[in-house]
Amino acid sequence: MHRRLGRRRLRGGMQDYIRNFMNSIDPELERLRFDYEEQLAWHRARDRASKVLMQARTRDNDLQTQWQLVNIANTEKAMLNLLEDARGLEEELMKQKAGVEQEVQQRTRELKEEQAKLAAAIQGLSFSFFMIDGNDRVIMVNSAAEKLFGRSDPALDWIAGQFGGAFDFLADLRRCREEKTVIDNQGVAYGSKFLRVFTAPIIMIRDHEEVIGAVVLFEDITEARLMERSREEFFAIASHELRTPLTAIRGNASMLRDMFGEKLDKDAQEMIADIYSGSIRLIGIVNDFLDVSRLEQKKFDFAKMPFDIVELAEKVVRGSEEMAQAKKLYLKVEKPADGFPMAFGDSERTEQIIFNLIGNAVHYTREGGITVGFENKNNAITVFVADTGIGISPQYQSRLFKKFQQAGEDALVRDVSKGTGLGLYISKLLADGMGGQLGLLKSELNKGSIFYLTLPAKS
Amino acid sequence: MIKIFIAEDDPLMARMYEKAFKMSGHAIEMAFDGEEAITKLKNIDPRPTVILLDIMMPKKSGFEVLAEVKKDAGLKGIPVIMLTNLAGKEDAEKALGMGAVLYLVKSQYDPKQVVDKVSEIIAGYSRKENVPEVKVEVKDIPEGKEKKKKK
Repeated sequence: MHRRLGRRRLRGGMQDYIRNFMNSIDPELERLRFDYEEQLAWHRARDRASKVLMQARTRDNDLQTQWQLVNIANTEKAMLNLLEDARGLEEELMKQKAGVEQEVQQRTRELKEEQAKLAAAIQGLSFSFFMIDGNDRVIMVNSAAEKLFGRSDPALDWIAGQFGGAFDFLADLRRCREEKTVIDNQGVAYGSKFLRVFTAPIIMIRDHEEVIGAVVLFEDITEARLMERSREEFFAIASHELRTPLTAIRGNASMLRDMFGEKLDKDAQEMIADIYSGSIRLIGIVNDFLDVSRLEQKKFDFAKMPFDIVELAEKVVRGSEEMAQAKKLYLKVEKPADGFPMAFGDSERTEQIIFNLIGNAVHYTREGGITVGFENKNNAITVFVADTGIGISPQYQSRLFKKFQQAGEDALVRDVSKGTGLGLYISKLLADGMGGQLGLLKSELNKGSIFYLTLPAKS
Repeated sequence: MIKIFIAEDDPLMARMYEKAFKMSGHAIEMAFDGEEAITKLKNIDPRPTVILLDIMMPKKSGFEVLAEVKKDAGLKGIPVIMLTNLAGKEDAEKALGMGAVLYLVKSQYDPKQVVDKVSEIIAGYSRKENVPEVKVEVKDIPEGKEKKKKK
């Protein structure tokens, strides 16, 4: 605008020009002033804003600090609480620890007591006791052991050496540990003694069975052995001594009968016959006693062979026919179908048993007779001897297979011509020894009885 | 000529068997203890046909006599029968193992039965001169033991 003012208006209107200029500047000034004031205002505002911001910041910082302080305070509090709790727990722990320690002490005391009792018991044993650990060291030995070996605290090697070559002690120990098995050696010689050496593993079960040692017992069985030996000898000698005069009686009676029988009158003949049968019976008794002695000591050898039990029974029946006929009793065999299997065992002993059963049956039967039957079941063979005899009372049945079962009031009723009453007892021992069974199947007074003998069938 | 040699120390038994064998018509030679038995056996001529030995005898037992017999070239071919009242199975097995052909428990037999058994043995032996191949059946009457034996 001011450009329009040029030279034309300069003189006369200088004032107008200045006025116009001033007027034109005014707005500028105004604008400037406005701008200036605006800026000022702006600056003032900015300052104010800054101040406010700073204040805000400060407050913010303050707040934060306060917040932090509060946090710290809280944390402090929390920590203190925790510490207190911890202290409380620690006290608790200490109490419990004390309690546990007390218990442990108590238990240890009890354990020590038990150990002491055990040790005392082991010390008091009459036989020698060794406890051996996993490294073949002797960890416990009782006084009987020290006495036996004549030495306190004997070592394993030394003990093993005491037996010489006859008994490999260490080998047994090894086997006991490796196979986790008990080894029982009866009759190991040691000087003039006989020992029983019993070795057992000590097994601990953790996650699996572990052998942590062994227990070895030595028992002096010298006396028992000697007694056994002398008992055997006694029986052998006694039976031998008894047999000789009995043989003389039997033999001479039979020769009298053979050589002079016809020349003698009936009474004399009968007397000779009675002397003869008496001697036979007595010889049978002596044999029975010896058999029983051996069977009871388990020193009896049984043959183990297959044999035809039907044929055997028939043979015994044939041999008993005279006896049965004398009492007018029948004696028959119910033969099984063909292909009846063989029995497995000792045929002579089986014959003895069947003879005993048939003999008893004939003896206790007054009328009727005896039947022999057979059965094959479950790989076992049974022979039955059934009679129509006087039967056996229930109370007596329980004593049947015991020793000397002819004792009791029945002995008066019965005819004691059956000898010692060892028959069924021996038969039962024989049957058992062969792995078989002898028993009374059933019996009824005045009706009869059925006895049975079962043996394994030949497989 | 059949000659029976018997070694038996008990007079009861000796008399009894002497009678029994004489009844059967055999000639008998007796000895009353183990030593006498050995001496006689080695010296008598002709040699006996069969030898019967008791076991429990003074001076030497029947087992010892048996051992001597088996060691002697002239005697070992003669059948030996043990005639005893020892009824142990072990004794029977021992005797049979040492070469006896029969083990008889005296009390289990009448004398006549013993004589019969001896005759059986003699018959068996004479059939095969000097190559005794006697098979005797195993028969166990409590401990009268015989043996299935091939020499």
